[in-house]
Amino acid sequence: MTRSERFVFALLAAYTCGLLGLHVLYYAGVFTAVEGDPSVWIHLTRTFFVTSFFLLICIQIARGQPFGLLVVAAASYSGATFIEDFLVIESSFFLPEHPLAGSLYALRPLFMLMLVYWAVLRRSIESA
Amino acid sequence: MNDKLSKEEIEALAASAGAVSLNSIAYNLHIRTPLARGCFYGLNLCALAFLFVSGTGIMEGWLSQVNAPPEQGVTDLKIRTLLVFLLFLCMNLALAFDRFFIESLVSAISIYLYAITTRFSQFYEYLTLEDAWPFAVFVLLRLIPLTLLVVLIREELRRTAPDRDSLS
Repeated sequence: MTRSERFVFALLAAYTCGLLGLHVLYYAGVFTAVEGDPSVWIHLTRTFFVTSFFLLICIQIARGQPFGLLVVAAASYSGATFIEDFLVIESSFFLPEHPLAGSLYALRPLFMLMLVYWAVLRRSIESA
Repeated sequence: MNDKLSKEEIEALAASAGAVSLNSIAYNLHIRTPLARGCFYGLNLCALAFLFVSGTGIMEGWLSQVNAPPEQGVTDLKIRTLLVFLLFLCMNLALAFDRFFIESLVSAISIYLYAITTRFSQFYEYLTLEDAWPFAVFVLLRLIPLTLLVVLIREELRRTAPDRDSLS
C-alpha cells in the first residue's frame, strides 16, 4: 500500500472501530432490556456486514493479495445503507444521545468519500 | 479496449462485420464467453422483470401470503426498485463502454446480498410451516440473480486474469 492509502486505511479503520463499538453498546442495552427492539435484526445484519468487510480487507492486506474489489463492495454497501437511512429509517445510528454517535453521524459523509477514494485508488493500482 | 484484442484481430472483426463500434454492447458481448453472455442476458431479464413487477401490486400480494410485517426495519419497495434500476443502468453502461464493468457487478452483489439478508431476517422469526411454499419460491426467485451475478463475476475475473498476470 502507498503512504496515502495507509493514511486513509487508518482513518477508515478508526471510524469502523468506533461504529462497531457503538454496536456493542447497543447490543448490551438490548440484551439487558425487558422488551426486545423490533429492529434488532437489521442492526445485526449491519454489524455482520461491517465486520465481514473489515475483517476480509484486513486479511487480504495481511496476505498481500488484491483487495480492490472488496473495497468497491464496501463502498457500494456503505452508499446503499446511507440511502436506506436517509430515505427509510429515521434513526440511522444507535444510541443517538451518546457522544460517539453524534461524531460518527457527522463524519459519515467524509467516511463514504474516503472509502470511494480508496476504492478508485486501489482499483487503479491493481488494474494498472 | 486495445489490450483485449490485437490490432489485427480488431481489423479482422471490422472487415467481417462492417463498421464495429468498440463502445457497443454487441461488441463487448462478442469478446466475452457464451456463459458470460448468457448470464448477462439473464441478469438483464431478471432486472427488467423486477422493474416491471414492482410497478404492479403483485409483490405486495405475494408478501401478504407470508406471515410477516412488511414495514419493520426493511427498505421500502420503491427504494429497492430505484437501487435495482441504478444498478441495471450502471451494469449496461459499464459493459457498453467497457469501463467499471466488474466494479458495477461487485457493487450489485454487495447491495443485493444486504437486501436479501435484511428481507430474510424480516421473515425469520414469523415463519410457520404454512409459509413454507411461498417462502421457498421467494428464496428461489432471489437465488437466480445471485447465481447469475456470481458466475458473471467469476467469468470476468477469469477473462481479465491473463492481463493481470502478465503485468505482475
